[in-house]
Amino acid sequence: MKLLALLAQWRERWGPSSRSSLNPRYLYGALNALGNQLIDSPVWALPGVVIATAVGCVMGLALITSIPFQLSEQLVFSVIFCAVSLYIRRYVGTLVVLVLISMSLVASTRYIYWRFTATLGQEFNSDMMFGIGLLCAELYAWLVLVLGFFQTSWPLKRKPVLMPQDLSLWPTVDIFVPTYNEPLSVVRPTVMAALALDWPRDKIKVYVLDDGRRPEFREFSESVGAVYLTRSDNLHAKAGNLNAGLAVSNGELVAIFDCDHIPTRTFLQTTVGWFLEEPQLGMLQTPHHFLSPDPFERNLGLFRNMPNEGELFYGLVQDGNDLWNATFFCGSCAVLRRTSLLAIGGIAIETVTEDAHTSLKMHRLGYTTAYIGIVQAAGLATESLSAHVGQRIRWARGMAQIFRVDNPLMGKGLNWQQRLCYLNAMIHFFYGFPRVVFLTAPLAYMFFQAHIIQVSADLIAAYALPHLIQANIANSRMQGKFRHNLWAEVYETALAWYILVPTTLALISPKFGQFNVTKKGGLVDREYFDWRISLPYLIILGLNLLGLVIGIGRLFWWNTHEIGTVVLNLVWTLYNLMLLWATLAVALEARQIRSHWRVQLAMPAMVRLPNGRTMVCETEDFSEGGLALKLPTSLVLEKNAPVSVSIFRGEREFSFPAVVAFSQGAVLRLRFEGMQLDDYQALVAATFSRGDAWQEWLPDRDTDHPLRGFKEVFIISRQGLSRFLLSLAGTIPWRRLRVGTGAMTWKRLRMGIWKKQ
Amino acid sequence: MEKAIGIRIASALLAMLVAFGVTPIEAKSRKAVVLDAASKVAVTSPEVAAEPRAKQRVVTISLKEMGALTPVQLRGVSGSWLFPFSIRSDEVVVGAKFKIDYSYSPSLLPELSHLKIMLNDEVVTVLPLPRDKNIGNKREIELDPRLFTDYNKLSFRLIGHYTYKCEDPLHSSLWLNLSNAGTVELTLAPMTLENNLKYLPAPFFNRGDARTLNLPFVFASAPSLGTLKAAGIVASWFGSLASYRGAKFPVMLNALPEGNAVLFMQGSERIGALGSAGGPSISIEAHPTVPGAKLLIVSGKQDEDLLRAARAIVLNYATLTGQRAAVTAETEPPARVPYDAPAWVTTNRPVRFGELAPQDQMEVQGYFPDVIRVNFRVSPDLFTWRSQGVPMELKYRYTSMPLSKNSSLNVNVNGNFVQGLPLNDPTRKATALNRLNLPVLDSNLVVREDLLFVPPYQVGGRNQLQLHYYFDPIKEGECRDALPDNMQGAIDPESTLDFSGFPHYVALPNLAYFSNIGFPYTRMADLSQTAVVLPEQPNADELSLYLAMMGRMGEATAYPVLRHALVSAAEVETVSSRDLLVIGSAQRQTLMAKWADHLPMVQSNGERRVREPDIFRRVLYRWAQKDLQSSPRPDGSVNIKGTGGLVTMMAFESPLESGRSVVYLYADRSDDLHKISDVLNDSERVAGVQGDFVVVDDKNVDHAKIADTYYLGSLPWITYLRWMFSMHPLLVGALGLLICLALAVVSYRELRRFAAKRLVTRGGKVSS
Repeated sequence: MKLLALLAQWRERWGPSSRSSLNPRYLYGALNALGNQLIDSPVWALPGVVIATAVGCVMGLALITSIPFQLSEQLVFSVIFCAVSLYIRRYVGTLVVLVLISMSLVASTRYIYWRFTATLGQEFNSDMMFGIGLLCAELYAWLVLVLGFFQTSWPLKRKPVLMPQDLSLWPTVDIFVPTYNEPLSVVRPTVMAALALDWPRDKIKVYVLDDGRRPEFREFSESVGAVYLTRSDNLHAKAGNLNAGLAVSNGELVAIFDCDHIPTRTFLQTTVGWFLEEPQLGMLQTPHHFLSPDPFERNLGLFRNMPNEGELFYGLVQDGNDLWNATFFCGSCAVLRRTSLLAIGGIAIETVTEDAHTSLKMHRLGYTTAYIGIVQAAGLATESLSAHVGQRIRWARGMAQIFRVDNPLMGKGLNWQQRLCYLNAMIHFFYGFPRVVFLTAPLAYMFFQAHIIQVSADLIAAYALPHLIQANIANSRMQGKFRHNLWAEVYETALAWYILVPTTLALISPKFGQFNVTKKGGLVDREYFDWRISLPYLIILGLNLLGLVIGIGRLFWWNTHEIGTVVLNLVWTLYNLMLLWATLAVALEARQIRSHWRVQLAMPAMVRLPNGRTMVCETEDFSEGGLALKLPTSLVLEKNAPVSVSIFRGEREFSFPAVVAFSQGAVLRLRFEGMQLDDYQALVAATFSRGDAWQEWLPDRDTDHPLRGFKEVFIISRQGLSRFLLSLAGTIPWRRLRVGTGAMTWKRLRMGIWKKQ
Repeated sequence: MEKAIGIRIASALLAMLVAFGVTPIEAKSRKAVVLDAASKVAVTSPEVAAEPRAKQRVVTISLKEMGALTPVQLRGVSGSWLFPFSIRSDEVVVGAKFKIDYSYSPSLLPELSHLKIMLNDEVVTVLPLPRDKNIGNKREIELDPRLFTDYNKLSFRLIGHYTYKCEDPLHSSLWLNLSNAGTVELTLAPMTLENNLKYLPAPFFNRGDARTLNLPFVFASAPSLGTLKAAGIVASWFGSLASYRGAKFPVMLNALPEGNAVLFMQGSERIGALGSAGGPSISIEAHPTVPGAKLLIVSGKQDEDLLRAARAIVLNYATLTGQRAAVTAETEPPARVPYDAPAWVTTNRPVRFGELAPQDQMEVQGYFPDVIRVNFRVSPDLFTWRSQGVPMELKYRYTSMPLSKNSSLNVNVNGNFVQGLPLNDPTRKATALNRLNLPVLDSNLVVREDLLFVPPYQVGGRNQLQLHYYFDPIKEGECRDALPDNMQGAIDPESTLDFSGFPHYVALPNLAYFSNIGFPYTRMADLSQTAVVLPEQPNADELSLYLAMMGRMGEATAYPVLRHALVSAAEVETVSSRDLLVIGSAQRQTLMAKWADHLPMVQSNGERRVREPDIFRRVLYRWAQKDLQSSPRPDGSVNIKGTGGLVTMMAFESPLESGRSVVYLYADRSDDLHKISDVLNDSERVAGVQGDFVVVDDKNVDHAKIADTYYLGSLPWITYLRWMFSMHPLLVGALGLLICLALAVVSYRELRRFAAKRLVTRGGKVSS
């Protein structure tokens, strides 16, 4: 009890660390002042001091890394590091981040060095084979960690440059909207928003690049004033399509939007300024923002509560890349300079990830790239897990292809920072093998009693835990806003198996594989469990469960002479089980009922009631089909009563005809009725295309602290278990298999992987 | 014949004892010496002076003493066993009897089975093995004295069969048990050599005698330090000759012992009727009163003459001839460099097995081959912290056979298992590396090479590498088993053991090193950095211990202690830069009072003050490297008053110079001092000599750690840093944090600079 009271006092004194940004103690505390003094100390101006310090640091790190400790010494050392990092992480400032990174580097590098020098047996046998496998996986994890630190240590946070007053200086821009098989309803708002961009009319041209050769697209394009282009073959998929567009257009800049990425009207004004400032600038990327939840968010019910997979990338990684002039093109929501694009021969066609390869080629020729982390467009996320998996397979395969055909470590034109950034982007997709190794490593002991790490369990814990703890503290401090701890593990676990094969194949022969179009805008009409996609995980899960049972046997009966080892492997197995259950929870596809995604956005609005009264109100959410209003007073309206609603963008008013869909209290839901093309255009201009549309998208979400992610994953995993069991009880799997093919199925996946083009 | 020899024999001398072939010298000579007894007698007869009072003696050696620690079992169709034993070269066998006690399997066919007994390969007798009398057979067999040589082997072979048809050569019913209580009874007659230096070291030391060497050294009443130093040099030579036997040098002042002795005389000193001949000289004389005994006389006008004479003996004894030799001129040998003792493995380069043992000792044959033993000594101060082990590149050959999985070459060091190398691992191919070293490479000979790592904590001081071939041929089935008789295994002399990668750095004091290999004194093989500190007016017991210690040093290095210094306690300041070996009993050694603060135990005014030992009483296994962690010395002490004598060995850092060692050998009663050399010569009790404070009893050896730790040698700075830091995690933590902070600050500044460079505009306004 006394302990709890102490803990309460501690909390009262220091408060939860996540709120540290609000606490002046951590903003302007003595430690912050000391840090500032250190940074701006006149000592650094003396010649040679920086170099000498850097060299000294590197040598000191090498020494500390190589000091071998016995158990007790290692514990003392780790406790010091752990305590200090837990304390200083509350303090605000980049210097603290850098200190935490350095500490994590020390702990992790020590671990890896120790693994190499002290934990491999001397005899070459099956134990050693397993051990080397695990060591490779750990080495990979370490490399990704270190490169990640390098990449994201200083996000550049580039701000837009204002456009000059003189309109004649503004460059001409071509907007490309490539499409292949998406329905018109998906493409329509994008094209409309592109046409609504704030730019001199004579300097902008919108091109709909249709590889599907659909007449209704031609009709639509011509009716709204966009140029419709198509070609006789579909060679090189999206890249070929864009290149075809490039051949017939002539704008100085090219902005590319995937057909479901709706730009805001300020897109060009925000991005083009830097092209005027920097003549060498070849490409400027903005974030991809998704209106709909990805399968993880949807199936786990996490949408908007938690950062998703992409947020780390666009929030931190690309911004960090920008520092090193290594931001790469992501295929959409980006502006490219025509001259640079032509200098590299157009969009790259060698691989299935034409985007990253295009920017790599630009960097090789000395062009720069930039990133502005302001959301200027929004799109749809993949609709189902299998589609998501298919998309990630494509990325992984493409990155592996680039790694083979145009390795960033070799070749001319790149500086070492760019090489490292590209390297990390590529090897990131090789996580399949290490992840599967981590999921199965404890089984080697459970099943075969293979001692894959040839030291005692307590020593393993003493070396491995600080490595994990320090890495997590540093990462949660750096990425807390963009990613919650442990979620990456869930994402990677879910994708590992599928990424393993294509990346390996692409490494062996980069010719394998074709471009598969990511399917978007579909519906999942009922909840179902995607058996096909999760089959490998069910197998691994089964093995882990079996391992757990055997492990308990070993703990109490068979291996009582090495309880430490058994416990270590049991804990590891339990951890794996948790990840696997969470993964299965993802595979349980939730129902997706709406054909149009409701976007939560508060805009000033006005509703004209059937009785002629007008009421000033605010929107709650909107979609292409309708919107919800928050009325200042309670009101009851009849269903299907015709009303008119106006949305205000600045001084401009856009009004639309609608009928009441639902009315209760202060909440009024309207369905648009009798909308004409002009009305749609107005709707897009009033909503998606608002300059401030996505700025307040992330109000204040929880920042991570190291244990939160663990808790979240644990809860999800528990849900996954129960939902899986329910699903198992209530369904006959093989029937579901047939029903569940609304999404991309395993068969198609397999075709995509194996079929040679 | 027996009678004829008997007449020619003079007086009886010493007994004899034998050891089973545990030492290289013996094992080597076992094979090397093939001499017919008769011809030996014929050769030696002219040298024998006819003395009337010939005294014969009877010696009984049991098979147990010859090495059969348990009863011997002969197995298989042709099981055999061999007992080696040796006889002093100044004694001859005049009569011999052999008593055995054996039992055998009742299944043996009497028509075919028998026990063959051979002495030096001559069949002595064949014992039939009748049915029904298989238990408790006793036989007494006369042996022909002419069959004996200096080195003898008595062998037994069971020819056993249990069926007339085809049989399993290793059938379990083929056995014969030989009790190890069986004895060989020898009647020995001494013979006297002429007074000639060419026999040196005989008759003072005889290789055939396996007992501890006991050789009295005689001085005039008050020998000078120079004389004593000369005696020390000679003692070290005898010590190295005596080798595993150990050596004792009782000192007599102005009196002759009843037997062989070495005399040292200077200037006009006289011992009995014997006097110095002037100038450095060496001579050999008959004992004036004891028939057959000899005296080796080392004499000279002054100290330097004696030292010259001593050096002449120890370095050039093989070339001395005649009854007397005088040294006329001398060039001293160059000083030794550290760790170059001839008996030690060099640490400059990998050492080949061929340098450690003769090739014939590294070859074995037969279905159950012997263990191949390679002895080596290595400096105990090798710093093996965190090393994988001592690399051993083992090249070995063996007869290729369809061997079963169990066949292996087992590698042990000092009895500790290191690794088993499977002999028929199908995944491994034989290497052709050694092709050049083999004159004839048989097609059915397999040559293999393996890299092993000997755990470093198992090696240090004296070591034995044991390589054991274990052949397990695949059984072909009944009637088809021809027991392979040509199984051979050999270790290539080009195999290497590499100690060269280890720095010399070690924590002291540690009496285990001292007792094992004379470290740190023997670091210089000629003891050029050692000084022995004797009391003023040393008595015979103290001198005897001094000589015994020098004998041990010579034994440890196989080099005489040519350059050690010998001083009295008053002059200790003159040798302050040397390692000190202090000898003194009771209150005779003044250094005890002077260095009372440094000593673990001080005896003064009838009161004994003992320092409190380290609480943990750490077991100071040098091999476990635990001794590298020192703990602060506790300050407590206790004073005890009582009777009874204490014998101790104490080690501590020299109060005169840091990094120098002192070993203090002390006994309350001077006639107890010999217990120290007894313990050091006792291969079992010597293991108890550890730590820095050892109390020696008649039976027990007790040890403790009391003194402060100091370090000898140096490490590469990076190794030193890693090693030192590895014991100070707090320091490493602090240093680590400091480095992290520095790294963060530097990278902050650099990153900030870089970021500013990236965001430079040409005049455009950046939105806020």
